[in-house]
Amino acid sequence: MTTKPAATASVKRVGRLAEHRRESARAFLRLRSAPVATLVTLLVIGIALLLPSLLNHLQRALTTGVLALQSEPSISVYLELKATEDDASRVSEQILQLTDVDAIEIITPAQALAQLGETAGLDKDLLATFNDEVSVRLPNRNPASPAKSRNPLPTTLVVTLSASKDSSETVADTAERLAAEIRTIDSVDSVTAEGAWLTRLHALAQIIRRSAQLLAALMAIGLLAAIGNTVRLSVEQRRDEIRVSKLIGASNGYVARPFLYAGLFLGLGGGLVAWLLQLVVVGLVGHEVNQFLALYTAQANSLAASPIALFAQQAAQDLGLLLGTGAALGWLAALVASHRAIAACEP
Amino acid sequence: MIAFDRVSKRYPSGQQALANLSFTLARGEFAFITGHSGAGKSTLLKLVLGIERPSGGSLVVNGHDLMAMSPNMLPSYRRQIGTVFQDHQLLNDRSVFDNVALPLEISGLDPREGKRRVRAALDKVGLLSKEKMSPMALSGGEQQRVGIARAVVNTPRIILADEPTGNLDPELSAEIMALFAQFMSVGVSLLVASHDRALIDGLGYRILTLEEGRLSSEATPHIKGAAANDY
Repeated sequence: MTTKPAATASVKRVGRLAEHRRESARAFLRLRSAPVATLVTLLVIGIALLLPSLLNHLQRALTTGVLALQSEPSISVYLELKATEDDASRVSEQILQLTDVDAIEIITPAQALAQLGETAGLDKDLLATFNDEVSVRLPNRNPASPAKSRNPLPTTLVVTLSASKDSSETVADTAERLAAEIRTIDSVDSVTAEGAWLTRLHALAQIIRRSAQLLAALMAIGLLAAIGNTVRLSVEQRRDEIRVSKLIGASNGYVARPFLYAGLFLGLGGGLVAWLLQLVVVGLVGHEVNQFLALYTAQANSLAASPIALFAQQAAQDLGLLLGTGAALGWLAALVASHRAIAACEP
Repeated sequence: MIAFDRVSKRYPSGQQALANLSFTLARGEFAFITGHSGAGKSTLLKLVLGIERPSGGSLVVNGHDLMAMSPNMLPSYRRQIGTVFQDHQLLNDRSVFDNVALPLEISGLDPREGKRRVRAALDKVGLLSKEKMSPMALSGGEQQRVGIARAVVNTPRIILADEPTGNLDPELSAEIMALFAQFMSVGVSLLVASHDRALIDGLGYRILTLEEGRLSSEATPHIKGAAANDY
C-alpha cells in the first residue's frame, strides 16, 4: 500500500445522494429477502391505518350526505284544521315571544298542497279537486269553514331555532323545550321537533369522529411499537455487522441509515396496503351505506354526491394521506428504535 | 504514532488491567505485544481503538489525545486505524469485495475510486481472483487475508491486530506476518498482539511483554529472518 495519509482528506467523496441511493437500495433488498415477514408487517401496518381512515370516511359521509341538508334544527307546528289565517298570525306572534326562536315561516294549506303535489308528483287535476273554488261547488257538509273543508292539510308554522342562550343546553334540549311550550298555545294541534333526528345523527357523527380520533391515536402508538419492534429485531440480527462497522469507524448515524429506510419503506408500503384495503371495503359495503343514508335523504332528493362518489373524489387525497402518515410513523419508529438498539451495540 | 505515558486501566469490577504502562511506537515501526491471556493485551488494543478509556495517564495516537476525545469524534478517529481481528469479523452476507469495500463505503469514498483501491488491496493479499466469493467459501487463512485487505484499504497510518494468527497453522501464520512486514516497509506503524512466542521471537521485531498489566520486558531480537525454521 502507499504511505498516503488517511483517506478522508485528499480523495473525492461520493455525493450524499448516491450514498442515500445505495443505502435505500440495500434496505429495500433486505426487506425483500424476507418476504413473508415483510408482508405480515405491511398487513399489520395497513390494517392499523385502515380502521381510523374508514371511520373517518363514515363520519364524513354522514356529515356531507345528510347533515348538510339542514344545518339548523327546526320545529314544525301544525295548527288545528279549523284555524284561520288570523289564528296563524296570532300563534306566530306568541311563538316569536319565546326565547331562542330565530324565525317563523307560515305554510298555508294551499301552499302545503302545492308542495306535496310537486314532491309526490300528483296530477294537477287531482289536486284541483282539493281547491277551494272546486269545493264550493261541491256538496259541503261543513259550512262553517268551506275553504278548508276538502283540503286535508293544516296550516304549518316552521320555527327555526337560534343558538340557545344557555350554552349548557344542547340543540335537542332547546327544541324539546320549545316544542313543549308551543303545545300549550291555543289553536296548536301538534308539534314535531324535526331537529331531533338530525341532532341524534349529529351526535352519532360526533361519536364516530371522536372514536376515529381516539382510534387513530391508539393505532399510531401501536404502529410505532410494531415498526419499532421490527426494526429493533433487525438491528439485533445485524449486531455483529454493526459492531464490526463501528470498530472500523462507522458512526451511529451511518449504521442507522438502512434501518431508517426500512422503517420508511414499511410505513409507505403499509399506507399503500391500507389504501388498497379501503378500496375493497368501500366496494363491499359502500352500497349498503348509500342505502342507509338514502333513508334519511330521499325526501330532499338533493343528495348531490353519494358517499361512494365522494370517496372516489377523495381517493387520491386519501392515498397521499395514508402514505404520508405511514411514512412518517415508520421513519419515526425506526429512528427511536434503531437509535437505542444501535447505541447498545458497542464493540 | 502511539504514545502510552503511565497509562492505567481499572475496570468497574475493580480488576486492574493495565498499570503504569509507558511505551511509544514510532512511525513505520512494527511491535508485538505478548503475554499470557489476561495480561492486558486486549485491553491495550481496546484503549488504542477507543473502545475503552484509560483510567489514568496519557495516551496519544496519531496526534489525538484519547483522554480528551469525545464519543462523537471516535468514528472519524477509528477510520485512521486499520484493525485486524482474531476471528476475521467478516460479513458473510457480502462478497469478499464488498467486505473489503466497507471502510471506504463508511468514509463515503467515490465508488469508482473505491473499486480501484479494493482491487489493489485484494491483489496485495493475493485474493483478487476470489473477490466475488462469499467469505464463508474461503479457508481460515484466506479469510484472515481478506480481513487484512479490509484493514489496509483505507491506507491507514496505523494497523492494529489482535491475535491475527490465532487460528492458523504455522505456515499460514508466517505468511500473514510477512504481509504485515510489507506494510511496515511503506511507513505504516503496526501493533500486533500475539501469544505465539515461537512465531514472533524469530521475526526480529520489537516485543513488548505484558505481565499482569505491567510491561515486564522489552526485547528487540536481532536474528531477523531466522523465524521460518524456528518452530
